[in-house]
Amino acid sequence: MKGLLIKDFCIIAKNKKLFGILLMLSIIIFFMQSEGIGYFIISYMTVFGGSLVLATISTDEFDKSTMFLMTMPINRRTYALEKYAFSFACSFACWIVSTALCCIMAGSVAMETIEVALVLLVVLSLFQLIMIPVQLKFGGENGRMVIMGMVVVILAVGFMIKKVMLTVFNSEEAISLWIQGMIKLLEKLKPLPIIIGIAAGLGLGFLISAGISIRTMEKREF
Amino acid sequence: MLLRADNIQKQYNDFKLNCSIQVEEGCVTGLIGANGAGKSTLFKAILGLIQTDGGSIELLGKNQKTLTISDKEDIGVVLAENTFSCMLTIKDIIAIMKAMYHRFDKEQFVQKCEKYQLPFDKQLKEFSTGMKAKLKLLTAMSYDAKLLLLDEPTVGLDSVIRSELLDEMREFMNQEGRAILISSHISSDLEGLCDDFYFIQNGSILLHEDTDVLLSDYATLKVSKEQYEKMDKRYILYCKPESFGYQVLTREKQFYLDNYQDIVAEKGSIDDLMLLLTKGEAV
Repeated sequence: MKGLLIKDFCIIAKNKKLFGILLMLSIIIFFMQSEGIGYFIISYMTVFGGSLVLATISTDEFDKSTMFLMTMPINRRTYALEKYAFSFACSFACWIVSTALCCIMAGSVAMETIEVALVLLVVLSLFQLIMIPVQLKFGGENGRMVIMGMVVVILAVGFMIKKVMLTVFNSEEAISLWIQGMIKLLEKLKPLPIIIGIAAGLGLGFLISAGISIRTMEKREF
Repeated sequence: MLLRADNIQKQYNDFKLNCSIQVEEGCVTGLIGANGAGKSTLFKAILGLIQTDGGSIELLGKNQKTLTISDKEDIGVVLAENTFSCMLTIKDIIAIMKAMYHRFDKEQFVQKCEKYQLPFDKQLKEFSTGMKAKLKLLTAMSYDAKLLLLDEPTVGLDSVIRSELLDEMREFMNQEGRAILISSHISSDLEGLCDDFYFIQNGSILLHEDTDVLLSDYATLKVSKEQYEKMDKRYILYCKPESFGYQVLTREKQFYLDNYQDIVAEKGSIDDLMLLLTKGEAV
């Protein structure tokens, strides 16, 4: 796996233009100083870090080098798992840097900032758990189409849920009050069981996602 | 035996691979066939890159499906169209190879790259076809593999570069216990390198023979229609109609030279043999 990680970091390091654009955008955003901009930087940077793995999968596919890699002393399982390791390493590094940046902007390490940053990390990790198997199964171009299709389905489901809730609660204010009540209820709960629950959920998500990715790779013909 | 593939089968829509091949220790085995004959499919099957429909493959004395990661360090591979990502440089490749192969000989690899003036800091996308071919072969030979599987390593190269690469392969074979399976559609390249040849067409092996026998006993005979009618056809393998009569392939050159003095027998080059095998009809 070490060799594959080196390969992916080398490929990413060649995308100097991409990093230049990211740096420029970060600087511009940093000077905006508007409310909630810190959280935007965290999510933006973490998504960027996590999406680097998609660039490496596309590059492997575009150069047809995946087939050559499979002749080296690795197996298909290792190839799939390395993509998760690379993805988590990149997104975690970007998350740490952006959270630190956010704290610097705020002038202090606020508990609220850390909490929001952790929630963003969980949400974006889930996003990666979906993206990696999709990208491995459908490839760069088709993978993007599948993701777009999934976004449309999610939006449609969200719209349906909202419709059902409107029927149940009769008004948007009532829904808002119900959500606020749920948040208050969650705040009353002890943090440890919540953290354990989220970690277990992410672990289960990883097992399912990695399982799909490994099966996809093991079935693939070159 | 470093490679034994028995009755490997793979069916695509309009193509069926069905062949057996063996590569013995200390031997360089050539796989000759026209484009689309099934050479690359056979390599992919041997390397487990495609699922076969039948047959068995033994690599390094083990069932291919039970090969471990460390076993794969004993196999060097050159694929016709695939190598590392074109974004990488030789410096990157050195770092990757060091992490991948325990026996990667960095010093020798660097030396060879310098010998062939391969730039260390340029991305592979800036390499010429010849430079890429050299790099692919040098990479496959950089970690003391026992078996080299080389699919069209000299395709698209000029004769100077082809000769350099063939010299590298000869040097590789100086050490005992090694073997090479090399495919090409330019068979003249391989005449001086290979110990035996397999001729493949439409996914099937048409002929397997030692190079010495091919060059000494096989010949292409040029005969008129009358000569063809009268001649003993027991030792004729393939026959191709020509404007002057027939061109035939025999593996008993001496028989025809002794018994038919007026027949023109050409010392069969591997290319001539391949032409008759692929264009002629079996007799």
